[in-house]
Amino acid sequence: MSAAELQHEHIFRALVDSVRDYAIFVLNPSGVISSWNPGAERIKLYTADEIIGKHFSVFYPEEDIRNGKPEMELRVAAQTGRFEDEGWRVKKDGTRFWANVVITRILDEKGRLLGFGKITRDLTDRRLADQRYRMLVDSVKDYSIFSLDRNGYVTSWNAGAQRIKQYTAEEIIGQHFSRFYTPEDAAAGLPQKVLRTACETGHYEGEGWRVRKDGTRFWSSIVVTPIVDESGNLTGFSKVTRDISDRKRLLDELQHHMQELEVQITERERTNAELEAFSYSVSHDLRAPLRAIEGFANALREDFGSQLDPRAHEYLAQIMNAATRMNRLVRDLLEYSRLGRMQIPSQAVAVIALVRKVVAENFSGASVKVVGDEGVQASANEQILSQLLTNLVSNGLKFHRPNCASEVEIFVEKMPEQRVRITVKDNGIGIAPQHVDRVFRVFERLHGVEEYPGTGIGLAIVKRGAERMDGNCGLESKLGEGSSFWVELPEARLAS
Amino acid sequence: MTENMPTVLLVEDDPADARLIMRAMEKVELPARVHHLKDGDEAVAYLSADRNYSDPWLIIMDLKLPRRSGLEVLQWIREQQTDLARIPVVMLSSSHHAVDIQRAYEFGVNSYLVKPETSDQLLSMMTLLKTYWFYNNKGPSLG
Repeated sequence: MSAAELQHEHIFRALVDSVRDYAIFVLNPSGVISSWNPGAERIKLYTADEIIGKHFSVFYPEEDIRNGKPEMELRVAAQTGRFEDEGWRVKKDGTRFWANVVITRILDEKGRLLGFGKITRDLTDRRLADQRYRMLVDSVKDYSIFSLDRNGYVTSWNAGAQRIKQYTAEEIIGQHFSRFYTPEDAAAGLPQKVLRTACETGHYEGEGWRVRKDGTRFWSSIVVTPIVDESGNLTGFSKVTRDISDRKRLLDELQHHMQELEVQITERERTNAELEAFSYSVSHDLRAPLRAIEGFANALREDFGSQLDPRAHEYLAQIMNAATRMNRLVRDLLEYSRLGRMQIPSQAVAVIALVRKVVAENFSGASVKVVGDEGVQASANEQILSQLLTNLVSNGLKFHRPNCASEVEIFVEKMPEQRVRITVKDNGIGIAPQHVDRVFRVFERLHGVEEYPGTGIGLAIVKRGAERMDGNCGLESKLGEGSSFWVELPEARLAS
Repeated sequence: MTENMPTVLLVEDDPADARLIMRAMEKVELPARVHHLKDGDEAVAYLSADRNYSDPWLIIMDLKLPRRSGLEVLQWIREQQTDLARIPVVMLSSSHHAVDIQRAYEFGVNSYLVKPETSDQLLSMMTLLKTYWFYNNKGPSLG
């Protein structure tokens, strides 16, 4: 050996000795160990003194020795130059480790076999991790998890995939994944698009119809992720598919119900509109004969009054009375119907001022007290609110107890959530709890016309009017003590 | 005397309404001869007939009329190239629909009145009508 060769040999030796993660050692042609490095000692636990001169088959499990595996490996390496294997090996203390083994043939210049170089790596941890991952994937039943090679052919298959798509691993591995798509989607090139998107964006996520082995379809949610090696080259794809047919069905049903509901609402709105138009024209056309009844009864009294006896006069009075009552009824119905149909523009209304105005104009002789914050403003339609107040106050004054003068108090106050409440409190007969719900309905009367005259529409107008102004109404009452009717409206926000 | 009185045209299809209106006109002593027509076609026929007497002084007309509505008659009147086009027209309708009122004014009505609910109100309305159209407003054809 030349000096240069010696030095080279020395450097090489130092390199091998410094390697701790790989067992690197030399075997003679028959498999006897002739060198040992620290990596070998660390992995296999033998010292150089203990192992040099021994046959390398001591590293193999018994069954491998029985099967002649060590000899087979040397034979392959001698013939082909190289043998690589992964498998269980045995340490000095008898424990096993998962090894990656590379055996390389060493020849002299004339091509004669000098021996073998052997490099062993301990991959137990990695194998465990792989195994755990594999077990995890395999145990997943609700998700189909499988991998594709870079061209879209199936390379692995888990239990979930089998459950959802019905193919066994044997049946499907090696097949192209486009068979999971509907013919329409496949023809449209969706499978290729999915892989392309996954490649370009690092991710594909979507929902759609997929086909099982038996041809049935299911609605799936899928995620495709490209798999790249250390140098960034695409090696394949992982694909996770979930069967969300149930969710899809629920969503579809929900949507269907919503559409039905919309149809029903439209129909109801149309029916309501027709009903409103009908009641409007009925109310309207009812007035013509009413005018005639009242007009001719009046003409009879004026033009022939002197020729009529007192009984005829009384009958005439009855006719005119009935006409007046019906006229009021028609007017209220018309108002109620109009409230349902017309546009109601709202503006800021100073409530107390309006209450005072209504009281002054309509109830000047009655005992009506007004209490509240002068500054309160409600978002309302002044004309309609006046009408509601008039109805409520006349209602409060009307239902007085026998031998007890009517007294009405009106309170205006701010409520939580930017509401304004107007309460009309009377000292009248009150309403029994079982009737409270009825009073706001059209034509509901709790008393005979003789007792307390009225059309039974006044409070229905209050309710509809309040609702049309984005408000609501209600009442508290005690039989024999009086009632408090209230209307709540949105507070008007001051322009900023 | 009645010979020289102007004519008032009342176009009203409801016989009861027409009777009551005419009674109220009598009561307030409207200084006119009242001619009652029952629908829009009759009104147009009357107005377009070759007459040897003068045009009506005032037309009081219902909005909803059979065959030709009050609005159509009004439109026809305002389209005439003669003095007819300038006859005052008062619409007397049971409708207080904003749309009806607005359209009537757009078509050139001089006044829109809603039929009163009671005889008393009808009487007051006729009194006002008399005062306005026969005393305050002299009109072109009297001048």
